[in-house]
Amino acid sequence: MNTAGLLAADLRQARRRLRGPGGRLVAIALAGGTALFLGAEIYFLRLFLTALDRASALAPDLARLLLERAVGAALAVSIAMLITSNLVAALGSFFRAEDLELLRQSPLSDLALLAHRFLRTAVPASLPVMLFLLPLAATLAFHHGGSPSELIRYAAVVGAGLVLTFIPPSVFGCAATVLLMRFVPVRYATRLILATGLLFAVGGVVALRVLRPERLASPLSGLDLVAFASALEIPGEGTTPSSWAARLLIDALPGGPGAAGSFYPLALFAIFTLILGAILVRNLYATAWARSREDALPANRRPAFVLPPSRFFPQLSRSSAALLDREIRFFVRDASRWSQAALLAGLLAVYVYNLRSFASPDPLSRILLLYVDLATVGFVLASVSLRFAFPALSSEGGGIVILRVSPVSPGLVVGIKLAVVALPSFVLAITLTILTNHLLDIPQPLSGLAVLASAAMGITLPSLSLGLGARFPRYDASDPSELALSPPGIAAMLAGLAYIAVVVLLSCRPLLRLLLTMRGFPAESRFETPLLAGAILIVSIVSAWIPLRSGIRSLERSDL
Amino acid sequence: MRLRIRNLAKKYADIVAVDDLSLEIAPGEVFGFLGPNGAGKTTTLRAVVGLLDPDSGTVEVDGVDRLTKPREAKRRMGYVPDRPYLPPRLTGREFLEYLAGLYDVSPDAARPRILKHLQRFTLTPAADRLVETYSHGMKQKLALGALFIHDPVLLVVDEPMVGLDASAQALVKKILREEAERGKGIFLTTHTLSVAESLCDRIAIVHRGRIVAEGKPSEVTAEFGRPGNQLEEVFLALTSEEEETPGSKT
Repeated sequence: MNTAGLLAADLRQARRRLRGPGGRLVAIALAGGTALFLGAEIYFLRLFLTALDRASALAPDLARLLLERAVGAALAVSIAMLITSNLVAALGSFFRAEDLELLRQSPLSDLALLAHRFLRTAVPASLPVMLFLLPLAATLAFHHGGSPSELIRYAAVVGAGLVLTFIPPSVFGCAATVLLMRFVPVRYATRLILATGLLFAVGGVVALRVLRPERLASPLSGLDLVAFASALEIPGEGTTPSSWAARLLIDALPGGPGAAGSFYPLALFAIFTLILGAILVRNLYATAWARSREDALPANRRPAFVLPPSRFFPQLSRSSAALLDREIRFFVRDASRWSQAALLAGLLAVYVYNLRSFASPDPLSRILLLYVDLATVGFVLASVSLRFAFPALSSEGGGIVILRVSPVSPGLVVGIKLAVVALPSFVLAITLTILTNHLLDIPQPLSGLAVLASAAMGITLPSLSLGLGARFPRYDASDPSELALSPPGIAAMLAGLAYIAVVVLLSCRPLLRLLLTMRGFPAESRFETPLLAGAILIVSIVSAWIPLRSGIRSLERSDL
Repeated sequence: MRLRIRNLAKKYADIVAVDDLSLEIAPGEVFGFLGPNGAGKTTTLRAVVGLLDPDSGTVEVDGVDRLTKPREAKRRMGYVPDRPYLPPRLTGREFLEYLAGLYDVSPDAARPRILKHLQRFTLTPAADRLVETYSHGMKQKLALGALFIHDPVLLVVDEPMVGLDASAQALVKKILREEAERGKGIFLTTHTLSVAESLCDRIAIVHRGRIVAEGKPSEVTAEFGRPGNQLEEVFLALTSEEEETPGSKT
């Protein structure tokens, strides 16, 4: 068997999984969530491009620079995301996959095995990024216009260019994982790799704050645009794959100067990294894999003592107390989980500290910043939920049998897991928003509505992830934390993002009203804020209840 | 009756895993469920303990219907699968305490039982070590010890001897016998016919989801075999006519 044969077997398995119980529902949720996400992306891109058209009339060079920088920034973020997702996915496909023992003993050549592992890592890790970038390119093309043949040619060039853009970060992610597993003690290497996903999520949040996109909402001047374009500048501009890819996306547009100048550096760089990565991984992999097996053996050490938290809640039933104590013991003794939680807490502290320096004297800018902050908090909560709540049931592994044969109701199992994840998420959400309100001096009722919205997100997002994770569990997953990259994981993330968008839009309504009032429209109705608060609560309850109920029912009824 | 199964049936797509199966286990009885791979043994056990719901039929545990009153029925039984999973980041003692909590056993009642069963299965020295450091045999013994923490009246055990050395096997046989003498019903599957012969009061040989022979081991041998046949020869004669069925773990 060769790489193609192995890939065919993977495809067959994936197809069967989608045809299996619940597979159709995952496909529908995924398609719906993707459509919603892409719709929002295309809508905002079109707004941005229309604004640029207006700016272009005044300063054409500046508008083009801004477009190039914005596309470059999107590509740089995509490349960073690709490195991170490949780094995490490679841990599973190169080291933890159950079929590796069998394949390593087979007469399959090293190169065929590594090529298969690379594709098995890179293709699923790249799909979400591709889903983000293809509509970007399509919107650019359709906004720019051209004949059908020109647009087809553009699609072909951009498709090939994006594949070339994706190869280096994928190789880098895989090679870095193998390198870490070869030279760093396996226990620490694993923690480090698993923490990078979260590091990226929070890094993205901090980057967003540094860029301060809310500045674009203030009356634009040439100076603002220059400052914004400068902020979008990527270090090493013009000599990085992201800037080559950005230029390719723009230069290949019908009537443009052509993409050859960007295509060739991208192709050369991709070939170069592919060869270098293959040499590196081929030389290191055998030893790294052997080390991963040896170090995977548990050390015969005393376990960390954990004071049972149920002692502080004497009113809990015995089964609730048993489940709660076990959850906390698992969390404390799983170094990868608490180290990620600690990292997140540290980075959020840095974020809150920085927020003060972003505060502008203009009250409108500050209110706008509050909503950007609300969306940011939602994004952080969605990432945390995907990491901790979504795999909560799958991480039971074979232990689900113990729970299913016990007299404990599935609702209690899910309820305790929800309490363990949602309580910190809730506290985190309201702390961040109260701090933001205080630092930005946000008036009532806007500040109250923002706290309500973030509190609702703090409970709803973990509920949504936990419910969907329980609805589509994978008890046989070699590493449940990697389930975030599975189709149900992506569906959960998209559903979470759609929910955040609805809540932020509902919260923004008073701001819109304020703006209209300032322009002479009728003043705010006194029922508006309570109605909006009610709408946020209803949307949140529905978004939490439906997935949770579905997850519990599936846990009650599915055959094991 | 500790267990009463009536007309149990379960299909996976087109494959009939269990077909109109009925059996009873009396208090104090060790009942062995024998059959080739894919015969329907594990599916039957899983339907009894609540890991899957049958398409039709009833399961009563100590007079309680498992399908209509699952929680009451589950309190009355304990189950060890063929490959038991134990949470790696709990110690042996914590695992037993956790189970006691799940089955609503008070700490005062649980503590002496935990000590007793750790000692009974020679696990006391390892009680405060993480389960992930246990050998396969130790894990199997801990899983078996966990059966008794809530003092169930029916024990359901899938392949209890897998991974155990000779002395541990003898210990497990002795303990299961003692528990049967205390009035518990024991429902076990095994591929080791000598275990069935030496441990079980009654056996059933299941093939393609149906019971093809049932009774005391000596009665089954006498009724379905030729003079001088051992249980193994009878088993092979009753089950070996064709290839293995597609659903290997049914």
